[in-house]
Amino acid sequence: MHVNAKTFWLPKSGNAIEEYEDAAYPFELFDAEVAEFKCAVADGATETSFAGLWAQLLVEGFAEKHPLKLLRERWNADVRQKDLPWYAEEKLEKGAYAALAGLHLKKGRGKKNSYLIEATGDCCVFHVRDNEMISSFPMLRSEEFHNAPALICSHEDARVDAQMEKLSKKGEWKDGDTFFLLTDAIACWALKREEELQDMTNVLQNIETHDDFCRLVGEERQSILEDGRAAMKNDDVTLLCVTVCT
Amino acid sequence: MPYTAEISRTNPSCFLFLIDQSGSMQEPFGSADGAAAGGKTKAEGLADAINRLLQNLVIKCAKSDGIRDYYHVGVIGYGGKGVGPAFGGALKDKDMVPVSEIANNPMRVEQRVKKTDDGAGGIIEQKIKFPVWFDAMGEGGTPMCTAFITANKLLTKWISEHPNCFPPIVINISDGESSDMDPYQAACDLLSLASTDGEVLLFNLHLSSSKEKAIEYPSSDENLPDDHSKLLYSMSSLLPEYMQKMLSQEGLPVTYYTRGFVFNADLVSVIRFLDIGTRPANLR
Repeated sequence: MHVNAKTFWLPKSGNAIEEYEDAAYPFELFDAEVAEFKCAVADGATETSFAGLWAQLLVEGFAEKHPLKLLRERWNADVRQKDLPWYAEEKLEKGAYAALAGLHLKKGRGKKNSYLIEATGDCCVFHVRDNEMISSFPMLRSEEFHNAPALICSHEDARVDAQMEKLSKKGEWKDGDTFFLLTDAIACWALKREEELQDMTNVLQNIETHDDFCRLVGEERQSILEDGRAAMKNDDVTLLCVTVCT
Repeated sequence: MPYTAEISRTNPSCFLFLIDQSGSMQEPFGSADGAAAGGKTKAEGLADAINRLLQNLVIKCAKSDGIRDYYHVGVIGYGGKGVGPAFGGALKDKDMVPVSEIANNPMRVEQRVKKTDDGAGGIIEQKIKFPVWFDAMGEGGTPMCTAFITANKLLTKWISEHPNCFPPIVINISDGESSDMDPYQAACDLLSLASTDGEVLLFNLHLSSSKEKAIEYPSSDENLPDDHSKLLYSMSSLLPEYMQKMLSQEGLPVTYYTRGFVFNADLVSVIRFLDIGTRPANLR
């Protein structure tokens, strides 16, 4: 199978590039013949510390099938090397949190080509065929997004782990299908756009360059809805577009 | 829609605490609550709660690259020594201070012992660092009216410098009645201050010296016992929608008319209110 994957990303408006705390894998353009392909996006929680590092470990861990225990050890080993003031040390004790959505594409040995989506929290995967969205997972509608999604913690905590809710979905892909992996702000915006104007897949598929992406996100962050809120919440945004051909 | 402004380093918000430092604050909490407060006086229990709150605010604003100044914070004391900034150490005499300055300038860092669950049915004692910015104090009268006038001056300046900020939140904590003047008009003047995102929020916590049960977040003054409690209720803001949701998630009954007011608060109630009242709405 042939896979083409492109990642677009932007930090929150007003924040520096190095303050971006989402993550994507692959982060650079991927275009190759492969027997299987894994990709993921993650959203580090703003209120936690070293959340960008945790999001990065989670997407790499998904792609390389590393167990959560190993990722937690790596996060802890990395952050504890640093010489930190009292408040940063206290914050480390609370751990970092992130939402994650990963996609695993496989070429079928017989006729069926399969995919598996795994998600914790409110990062989403849309499956698009012939310009129509045929599924959205794990969130189905824009009103499902809220400020307290299930998250993966960098510390082992039985109580948090019990609420982690790793959801999964299996399905079949066909020649020319596209998958979009999105972090919460752009996923919520995209679902609302689809509910109201039914043109979301067109808009996403027309993004070819970083400038296209910046223009869209900039306009939607500025656009104010009737309830006074911005059409797209000012948050780090990440969009990973994956097209697969037999 | 009010109370939706983004709180960021370029558009910070602020908290202003007005703390009763009158003589009656040297008395213990009401007996039932005294146990929860570990036998401490109201002044000591409140100082611990404020120091813990400042510590939590600092930690909330801490990121891997340092402290982000999402908030500026002021602590104004009022009592026998007059009305003025209550920070100690390097922050002495400062009224509004960015969180990063608070983080880097505790008056001292105490070692305290915290009892925690050992995960096997037992209790273990753990040493923790406890930064202190503000010491317990209590003498003389309760010049609450002057405290509101001082808050008005500070926030008029703050809002002129941050016209689009998430509205400042003022939390007044006292165990008694105002001894200088009737504070009603001064509180109304304070409540009329507004940024483009809404009016200043004023919450009042009345500390208990009795065994009476606390009355938390009332939606009318019907069940309040006296004129003083009714006055404090009338000077407290209606809770904005995001706070109504938070209280509701905590399992507390709320209506459109619920006000940020607690009467006969014990220490647990104070800590809970400080947590809810300072939880961010829209942090970037």
